[in-house]
Amino acid sequence: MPIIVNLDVMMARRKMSLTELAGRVDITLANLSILKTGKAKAIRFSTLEALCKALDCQPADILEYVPEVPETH
Amino acid sequence: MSNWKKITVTRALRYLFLVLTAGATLLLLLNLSAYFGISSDGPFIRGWVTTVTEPTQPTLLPHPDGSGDFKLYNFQEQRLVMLEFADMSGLLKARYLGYLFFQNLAWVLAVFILFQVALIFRNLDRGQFFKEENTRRARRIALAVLVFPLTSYIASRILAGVTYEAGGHIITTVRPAVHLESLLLGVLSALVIFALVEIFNKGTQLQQEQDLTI
Repeated sequence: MPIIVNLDVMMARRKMSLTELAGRVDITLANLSILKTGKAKAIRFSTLEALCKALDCQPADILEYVPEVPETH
Repeated sequence: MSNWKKITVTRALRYLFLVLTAGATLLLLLNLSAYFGISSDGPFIRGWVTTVTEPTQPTLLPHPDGSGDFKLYNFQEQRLVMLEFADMSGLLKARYLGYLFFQNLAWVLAVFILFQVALIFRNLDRGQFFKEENTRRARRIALAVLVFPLTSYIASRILAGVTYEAGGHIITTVRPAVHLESLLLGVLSALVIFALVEIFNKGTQLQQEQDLTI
């Protein structure tokens, strides 16, 4: 997927653990792990808002668009 | 009383299907024991008899107004005869074993369908409605429903019109009427199940998407 979730980068910058973030944004550790590993298919505005608030950042700091490179044979 | 309230409809249905599965399995085992001839001299079908026809002599009956007799022609007499494996020729034995195979295959499919339904109800009981496993099982049921009338049809036709000698009589097994409706019903039922499977499949995809929306 061309949308990259940079949650781990932001967490490292804020020196925040996954457990602490899960507690702050009121999301289960399992769901936060899905988001962090890029397995999530969609993110709710409310979740994004809670993450931005907890990490004191903008949505663009968490999400990034990287165009896919077409495979050449 | 509170225990009764706990029993949900899906749970009750699941138990019903488990009982049916156990019953069908028992009947299948009885049929298989007959197949291997465990309880008799040779293979036979438990309680299975065939209607056979053989010509008979006409009977003379007095005419009601007393002006002579009239003949009542019974061209064929129908009789129930159990086929004895030991009396059969090689070709008939092969057809007979073929009959046993397809007849038992129908039972295997019936048990298979009931088992799959019971497992779907177990998942529903656990609150797992839109699960990939359910659609997979429903697809298997549809395939079994499609094949089921075919096996019964083959089993009913495989011994039809067989002529053999037993007890000094030439016996011909009757040809059953061709009931293509049952085959059509099987195809239609399978199509309906396949359509429902596709709806369920879409539901499962939506559920997965919902689960992966954080």
